[in-house]
Order: sequence, then structure tokens, then C-alpha cells
Amino acid sequence: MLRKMIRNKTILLVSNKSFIDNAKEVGINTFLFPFKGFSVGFDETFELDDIKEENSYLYINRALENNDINNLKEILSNVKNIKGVFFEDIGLIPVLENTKLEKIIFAHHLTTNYKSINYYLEYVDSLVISTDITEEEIKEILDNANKPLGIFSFGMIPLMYSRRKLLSNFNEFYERENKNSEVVLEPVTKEKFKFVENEYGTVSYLNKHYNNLNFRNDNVSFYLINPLELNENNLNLVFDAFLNNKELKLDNITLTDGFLHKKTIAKLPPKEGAR
Amino acid sequence: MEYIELLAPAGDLERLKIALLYGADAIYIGGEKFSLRANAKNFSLEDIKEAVSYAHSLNKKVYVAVNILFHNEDLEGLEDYLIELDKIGVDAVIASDIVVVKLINELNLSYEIHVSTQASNLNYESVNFWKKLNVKRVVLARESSKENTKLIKEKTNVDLECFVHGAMCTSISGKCVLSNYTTNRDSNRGGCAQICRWTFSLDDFDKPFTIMPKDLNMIENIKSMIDIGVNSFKVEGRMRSIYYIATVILMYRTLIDKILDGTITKGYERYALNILNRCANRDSVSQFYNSLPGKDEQYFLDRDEASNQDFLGLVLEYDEEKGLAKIEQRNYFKLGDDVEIFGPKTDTFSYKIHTIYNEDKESVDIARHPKMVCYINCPKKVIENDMMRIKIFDKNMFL
Repeated sequence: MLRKMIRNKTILLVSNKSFIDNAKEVGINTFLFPFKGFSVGFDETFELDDIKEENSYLYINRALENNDINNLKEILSNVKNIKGVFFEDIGLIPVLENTKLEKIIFAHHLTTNYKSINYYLEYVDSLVISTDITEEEIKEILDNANKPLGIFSFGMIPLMYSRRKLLSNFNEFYERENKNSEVVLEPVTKEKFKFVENEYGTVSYLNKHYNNLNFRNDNVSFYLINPLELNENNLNLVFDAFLNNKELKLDNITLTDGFLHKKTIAKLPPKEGAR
Repeated sequence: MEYIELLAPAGDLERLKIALLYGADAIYIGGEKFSLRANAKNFSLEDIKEAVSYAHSLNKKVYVAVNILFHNEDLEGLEDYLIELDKIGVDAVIASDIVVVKLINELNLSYEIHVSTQASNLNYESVNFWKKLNVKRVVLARESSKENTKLIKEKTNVDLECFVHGAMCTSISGKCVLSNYTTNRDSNRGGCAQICRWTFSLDDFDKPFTIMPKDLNMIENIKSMIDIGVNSFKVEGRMRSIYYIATVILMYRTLIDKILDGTITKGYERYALNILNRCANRDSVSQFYNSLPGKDEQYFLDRDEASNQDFLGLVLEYDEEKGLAKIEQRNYFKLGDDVEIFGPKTDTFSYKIHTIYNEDKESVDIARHPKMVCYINCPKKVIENDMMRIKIFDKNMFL
């Protein structure tokens, strides 16, 4: 019964269309599609005609200029096969007000405290809690939010979004063959980052997968899984761990719990010996 | 014509006074809490009080940045702080997080609400969203082009503030946590370690992978920005030196005034650009205003950012009878050096130093000690807070 409830609350971000069947096999039937022309950081994106699933949402995560807003007003007022939109840019709030679509804010770095979240909830149906905060902070938000909220349960986290085409610019400078994705190493901390570029800019991901699959809370309205960079085998392991509340181990994938158990700092402590 | 403002950064009271003296119409500062430069010296409430009193005595304004993205624990003390700022009489609060905007409304506080560039506003609908929350001004994302900015103004009639000079983020502001994951320092709460200026390595290439942008300068676009309705021209750099602030603010003040009175020339723009690039030690370009930046708007080779040593001294007094300027040394200088002096009311002029006296009026060859007070020959009248620097260019080359 609990597993069925969890399945009904799970949304798969579709980074690979073939994964839809894997999801359905385990009873996950709600999907979030990166919208072609209006998303960044994904190799595979989708036009409206590509979307056939009954419980489908659009993901719009790129910076929207005036022309984009005007285009989306037209598109979203006529859309038929979509239940709602996950978005970052708050300019979409008034755009979606005139439609019957669900409005869900999905901005990894914006939704970090319960007061702001409650203010945003005056305008939207739900939102995804930030991945920049601790588990305790997430619980406190859920306890104090005016509506049930979404949790980002698994996947690569976008760390930076530049409007520049960082890979193209670099490769053009050095006259290298261009690629639209690249893994780089930071030599001091040894962290790796994956850069993914399209015509709307460049997203940099941590080259590890955030794992919060075992988090459960009665005030969660949905759990979001992003299978970007997973193969089919690993995806099935993720589903198994998630639905059966098991520990996760993946092949050739490094996991991270992000800041779930570690706070970030803003102000540096004074240096030793400093006056 | 709409209200036009030159807005300067100030990391402390000395910088604030210099910025206002050198021509800023308004200043933005950060308090000891809730601001995105958590590791700068910042302003205590007492400092803010003094800053506001000083600025208002000159008929100028002070805006306080309360622009972090709050975690739950950061909310404590926020209401009281906003109320204190109201009592002090600041002219505006700059906010990124909706909680700040909403609280100012709920508490019915009297200052203006400005929304920060950290809120990544790039379209008229998001600006109108804030307008409905009584936001008076929006600082647009630095990625906004000329046409995009113009349309936002037309469709919202909200005061627009745009950066015109200084460092750029690689990321759209507010959408970067590289620092969080690399150093645990929270970029959205004031701890950014500027990872975008680091170098990375690739498996299959021997050159470092870099993503660092050149700085921004809008010298050639100020007139265009005025024409499309931008109200406030913002210079970046609350942690910059007084020399940088004085140089940049004076250049933009002069540019804006020359544009408004119709005396601007291409030669002056070129002169200004050379002075500004030199004082920042980095190249600067107009970035997104006219087109999407490409490879020429970024750095790719390893750079050594040596600090600028051009600033030689701060003028304290002038003895007209003896032709001696009393100077507080800020970098080493010596007999025979070619220097120039500039100031808010002092036309830039250059000359050679042939006399240096120390504070005891003893003749010396070199002013070598930091902040030593000395007297040097000076052929023209100068005033307190004028600045002396190495002679960089002959202004007449450009004009």
C-alpha cells in the first residue's frame, strides 16, 4: 500500500525517452519533459507532439527573455496534452494564470526557507524544495509549508547556468572540435563537473548523483527523480532502492548526499592570530 | 527626461565618502548581516546611520543590500533589521528573496524596494510580478540585451537599474552554487569563492579549461541606455579600493554629464576606456548589450592578476604659497617620477616630482612607507581627497 502511494507520488524527469517504459514497469506514471526550445542542460528535449503520456508536465528551466515569454503565452494557452508546468522563471506565473495548467516552481537554489516558500505558494500550486539545504531544513520547511511540496530525490544537480556558450567559446579559441558536453576536473579539490551546452547557454553539473531516495515525509506531494547520465541498469537500481527503501549502489556512478548532512557557510571564521 | 542616477558601491565609510565626492548620486552598501559580501568589512547599524546622514547632507541616497537567499535560520532577526533600517532613514533596500519584499510591504516600511540582479529578471512579466509587490526598481540580469531592456521598460514603466562597469559572473546571477560544492562557501548567502575564475583540466587537452569572463564596461553605450530609459547606472565593486572607485565614478560621472550636455566625443570615450581598463587590471567589454558574447569576451590563457600599483597618494592639503601638496602615500614614489593628479573638481594634470619632504620637512628621495605623510611640489592648486597616480597616458593623445 505504501509502495503504491509512493509510486503515485513519483515523477520521472525524462532525460531519455526509452526510460518511460522502465518507469511504467514499476508503476511510475507521471513524467516531466524538458521542453524543446525552453530548457537547458539536457541532451534530449521534447516537443509537444512527442509527449503522449497521460500524466505529463513540461519543464521550462532556461532564462526567458521577452520574446520567449510572448511565444510561451501562445503555446501554453493552446496546449492540450499537459497537466502542468515546472518552471524557474517567475515571469511564467502571470503567463500560466490564464491557463488551467498546474504551476510548480522548480528552481534548485531559490526555495530555501519556509517563509519564502509560503509566499510563492500564494501564486503556484506547489514547488520543489531546494537541494542546497540540510535534511533538517527540509523537514522544517515541510512542517511549516502551507501546502504539500516536492522533493528532489535523485539526480545530477545543476550548479551553474551561464547564458554563454562556454564549450563553444573555449573550443573556438583553441580551434578544437566542438562538443556539446565535457567533463572537467578542478585540480585542487578534485571535484569533477559536467558541462552541457545548447544554443541557450551552458549548464554545469556536479559529476555525482545526489541521493535522497530514502527520504519520506507525509507532507511531500511528489518525489522527483532525474535519471540524467544513467544507463538502463542503473535506472532500475534507482527505482528498486527508491520503492523498496533500500541502500543504493550504482555501477560507475558516484553518489553524494550534497548538503543533507552538512551546512554551507557564508561568513568565514576569523584567521588564527588575526587581530 | 527620466531620473538618471550614477550608483556606486561602498565597502566602508571611507569608500562611501570618496564615491559621493567623486560624483555618485547614490551608494549601495551591505550591512553586517543578510548581504552578499559576507566577508567584506560591511556597515554596522551605526555606520549606516552615519552613511545616511552624510549622503543626505549632500542630497544623495543610500541603498542597503539585504540580498541573500535566506535559509530558515537566517530569518531570525530579519524583521527587526528591516525596521531598524527604516528608522535610520535609508532610501531603499535591495532584495533578492521574496520574503524581504513581502515583509517590507507587511510592515509598511517607508523606503523603496529594489529587486537585485540576483533575482535574474530578464523579461517584462517577471518585472511586472515584482511591480505588483510595490517594487519601485528592478536591477536587471546582466544578460539583458539592448532590445530586451528597451521592451521591459516600455511594458512595465518600472525604474530600471543596469550594471555598467565591473566584474561579471560567468553564471546568470543567482543561479550558481559552484562555490558551495567546491569550497562549502555559500554563494547565495555571501560566501562566493569565485570558482568561475579558477582553472580546470581536461583529460584530452593540455591547456587549462577556463570560463572566466572579461569585465563589463558600457562606456560606448551609456547614451543608448539613457535613450531606452535606464534610470540607474550601477558600478560593481563593494570590495574595491578607493582609487578604483574614484577613478571609475569620476569617468562615468564625466561621461554622463557630457552626454546630457551634448559634448561627448569618441576621443573622450577612448580615453575613459583606457583609464578604466588600466585601473582594474583587466580587459572590459560591453558583454551582452549588443550581442551574445563569444570567445573574445572571455579569458582563456592563464592570467596573473597583479594588483594595480598606480595609486600613489591621497591629497590632504595644499599650500598655495609654497606650491606644496600634502600627500598621504599609498604606493612607493620617488624624485623624478611623472605623476598626475585628478579629482572631482580638479581637471587632470601631470608633472614631474622634483621635491619630496617627509613629515618633519626633511628632504627625501623616496616616499617608501605605507601611508606616510609627505609634501611634494605641485604646480597647480589641488584639494583634499584629490588623488595622485603614475602618469599613465597623455590625455591629449585621445582628445
